[in-house]
Amino acid sequence: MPGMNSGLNPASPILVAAFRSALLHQALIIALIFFLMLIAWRASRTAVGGQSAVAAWREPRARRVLRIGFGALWLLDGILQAQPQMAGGLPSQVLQPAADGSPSWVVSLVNFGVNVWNYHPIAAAASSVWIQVGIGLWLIFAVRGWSLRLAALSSVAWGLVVWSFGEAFGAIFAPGLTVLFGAPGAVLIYAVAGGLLMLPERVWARQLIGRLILAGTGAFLLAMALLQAWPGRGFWQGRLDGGPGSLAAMVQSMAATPQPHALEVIVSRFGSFAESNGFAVNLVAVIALAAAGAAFCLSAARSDPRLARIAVLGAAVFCLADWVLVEDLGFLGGLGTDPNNMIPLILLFTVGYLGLTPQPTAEPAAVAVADEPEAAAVASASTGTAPLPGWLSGPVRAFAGAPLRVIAGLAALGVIIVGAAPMAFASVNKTADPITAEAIAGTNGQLDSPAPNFTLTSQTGRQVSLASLRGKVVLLAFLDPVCTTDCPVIAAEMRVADTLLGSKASDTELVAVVANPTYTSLAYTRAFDSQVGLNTVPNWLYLTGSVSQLASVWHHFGIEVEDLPAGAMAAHNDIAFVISAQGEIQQEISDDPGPGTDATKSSFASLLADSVLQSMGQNQ
Amino acid sequence: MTATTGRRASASALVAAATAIASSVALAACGSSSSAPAGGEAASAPVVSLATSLSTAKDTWAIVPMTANPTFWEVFVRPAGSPTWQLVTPPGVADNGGLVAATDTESGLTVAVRPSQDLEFTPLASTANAGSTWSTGGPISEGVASSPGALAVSGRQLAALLTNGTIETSSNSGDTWRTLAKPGTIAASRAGQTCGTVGITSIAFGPVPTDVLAAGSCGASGSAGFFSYSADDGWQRLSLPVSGQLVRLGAGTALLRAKAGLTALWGDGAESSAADWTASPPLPVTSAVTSSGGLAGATATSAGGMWVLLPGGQAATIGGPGQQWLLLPPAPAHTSVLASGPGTSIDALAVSGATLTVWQLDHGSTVWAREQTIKVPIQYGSSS
Repeated sequence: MPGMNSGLNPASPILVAAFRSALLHQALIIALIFFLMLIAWRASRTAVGGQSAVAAWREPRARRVLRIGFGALWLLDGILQAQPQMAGGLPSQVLQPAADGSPSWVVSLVNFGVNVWNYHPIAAAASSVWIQVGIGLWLIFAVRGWSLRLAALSSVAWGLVVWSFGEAFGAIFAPGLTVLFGAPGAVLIYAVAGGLLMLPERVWARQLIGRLILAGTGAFLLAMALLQAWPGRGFWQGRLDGGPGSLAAMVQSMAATPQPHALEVIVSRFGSFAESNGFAVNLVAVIALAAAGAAFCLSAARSDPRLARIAVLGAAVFCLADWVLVEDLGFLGGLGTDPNNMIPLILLFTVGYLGLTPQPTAEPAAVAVADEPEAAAVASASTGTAPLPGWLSGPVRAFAGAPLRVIAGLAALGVIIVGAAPMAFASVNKTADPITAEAIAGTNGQLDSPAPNFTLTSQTGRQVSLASLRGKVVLLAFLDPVCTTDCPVIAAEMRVADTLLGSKASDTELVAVVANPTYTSLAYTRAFDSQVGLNTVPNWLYLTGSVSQLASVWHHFGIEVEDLPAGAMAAHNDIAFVISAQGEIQQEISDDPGPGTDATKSSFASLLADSVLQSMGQNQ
Repeated sequence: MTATTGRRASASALVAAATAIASSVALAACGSSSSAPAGGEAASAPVVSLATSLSTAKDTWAIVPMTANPTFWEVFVRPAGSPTWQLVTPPGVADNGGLVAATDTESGLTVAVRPSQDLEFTPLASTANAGSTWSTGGPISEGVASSPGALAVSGRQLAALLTNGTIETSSNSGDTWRTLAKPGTIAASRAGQTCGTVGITSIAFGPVPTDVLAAGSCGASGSAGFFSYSADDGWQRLSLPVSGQLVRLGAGTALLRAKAGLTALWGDGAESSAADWTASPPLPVTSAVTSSGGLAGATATSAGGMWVLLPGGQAATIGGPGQQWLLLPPAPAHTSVLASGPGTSIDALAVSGATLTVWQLDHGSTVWAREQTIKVPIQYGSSS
């Protein structure tokens, strides 16, 4: 699947350090936001004499569990996103496997997300952390009103983004769909929860909401039971085609991932058990799913809390068993990004049960101040401090009168903005961050030595010496004109770097020296130029000469070039040099392009352009 | 047991065949690379591999694919008078896309390196000293077609069939090229209009070195269509004595898959009418085999020898006009190419991974004998 894999080593120290640094910087900004909000809140209370409202209103139990439960899940997901290898590893270890087996349009959609991530891995990874942490905090702090509705909306929106681009729609379009493995995707349940939290408060005062949740969950489980029982999908067999059946294979693959030994033993043994008793295990799963689904539907139809309670307990036991034995807690092994579907599912049908037994909600105390900013404004009392300008008085009084959790909710919104803003700016930028190239190539060597002079022949037949290029920064590479892999990619990166330099390109000379002892003629440099689109770039020189002339240049720049036998292309180092306008070698860059994806090409182009600009800056 | 079709092989027939191969152009196939009709939409012609052997008065060459995924193509030579083969693959360029080779008695061997991966043009390499040194000509601005007949040499004249159906020629050993026919040019010519859809798969030089012969499929049936170009007359269609699909084309020689079986054709130097061609008796090849796409190729020489290597190791040779096809003992396992061996023997070049084993069938023998093993230093990971 071309373009899916950035070719990055997720454990690249450069990437890990950059990710950690970005998180740290943003954490400081977020801490500052919380601090400033607190200071401002205290100051405003002093200014207008506001005081905390004492709310007699009590949030419906079902909604509180839903809000705090899914807030906590978002928070956990955000923390999981902060794993050190996430920036480089999410595309290859999470996104790509999630799309395996899905239709091509799903793969294309996921590929788009992968591409965005690969272009800006640090910004994307850090954004994912803070957006999810922010949504989690916001849901936890925002109790009611517009604040909760916005928090819930953000949960829906981000949940759908993650579900489509990150989870390939929970693999519902892939052939092996089963709730036991994670269908329909954990974040889809987060989005559903967000949708429920957006409902008006009065809805939560009635049994109807509980019945609807239970009926919906019950119908879903019944459908999943039918799917699980459907023959020909490999779930009834412990062994299939000489290997483990679908369920046993899944469990065994989970057991093979890194995890605590005790859990590994449990999961591994269950995998063996499922392989030996495939039919029985699937039968239990089908019966459990069908029974739970039917019980939920029945309890919803009858408004029967007792039956619902039994069903919830039974389903929770089954879900927890699946979560441990099949899903391996969801986030263990590799780069887990959430606890998978069973925990949110348990949360959802528990909320359904609680909704079936609603408690009285809005009971305003006689003089209580509501805990919404707009209501709090009315309740804040003046203490005789200096009057504020009229236009400022209202907002300040509202702010001062708001309880601390509202202020915290606003700060959580700030967390989301801090996370999303860099990604938004980055996604507008069609040029990849140089960090990817740095992770592939390693740290550039900083040098300060005179560049050895040479005279060779340009693609137009003109004699060109390196010394004659003084006054311009020279980006010097060694390229094989008949290379089938790296050299055309490097040349394309140089061309893009030239574009990125903009007006500075006129102060730059892109120079390549032939790195092939056999194919040295001008015809080949010209053919190469046409192939990579450099024949129209005015500041491009592709230099060649006799083999002895070329060998001298290679030697002086430490480039090893040799013909290899048996149909292999010529071997040479992929090294570029940045030579200052004064003729000093300032940087040695490994320009081995790695996998040559769009993202890595763009990243290397950025790196080369940055290196040239740095050289210009150093010499001004 | 060696047997001719319909009668037992006589020693003289084997000698004739081997002698013919020794001075011939021959080829084999392993199905690893296919020739697609270029520049037309006609029905598909038999699939012929780029693996082949070619002989001149001096040397015998073999183009052999080694290893798989990726495949590295190698050039081997058995210099005149030498009993052994040598690896002489031209250096400096990755050849995973395949090699198309051409030779005549004067110019040694010229190899077009089919581009692969990010390379888009075709490097050329030539040798006049049995691969001791190579010189580079060209390049050709695009990829040459994946057909063993996509390159032709006659002295300093070169002709190349490109993947898009363009035919280019060079009069200075490939230093500069000009377009002889763009895609559709032949089909649009008066000669091509008699044919309908034209799909050119092979080119060769005609009796006059500046004349170019282009052949491929013609019309919806895909039967062979031969076209000759001269500066004076433009494109002319040639008549053939046998109808069938083109398998290989050489200078004045061709191999067709006719209804009755594989049929070799030899031109008399004029080749403009059916009467100018001599057809061999057919080599019965079941339609199931020939339509499987594994049909190994064959072509001819001035002396007229040809050989074919069929799926399952069945092999046959024919010595020239007036002779019968000679069935050989089944070729050794993994045989990729047959070639003329020392004297009157025939060599089978078998590939296993990065090892080439040369088997030899001596005159009068019914057993292939292992003669030589060459470990090819494949540079895994160098280009793929």
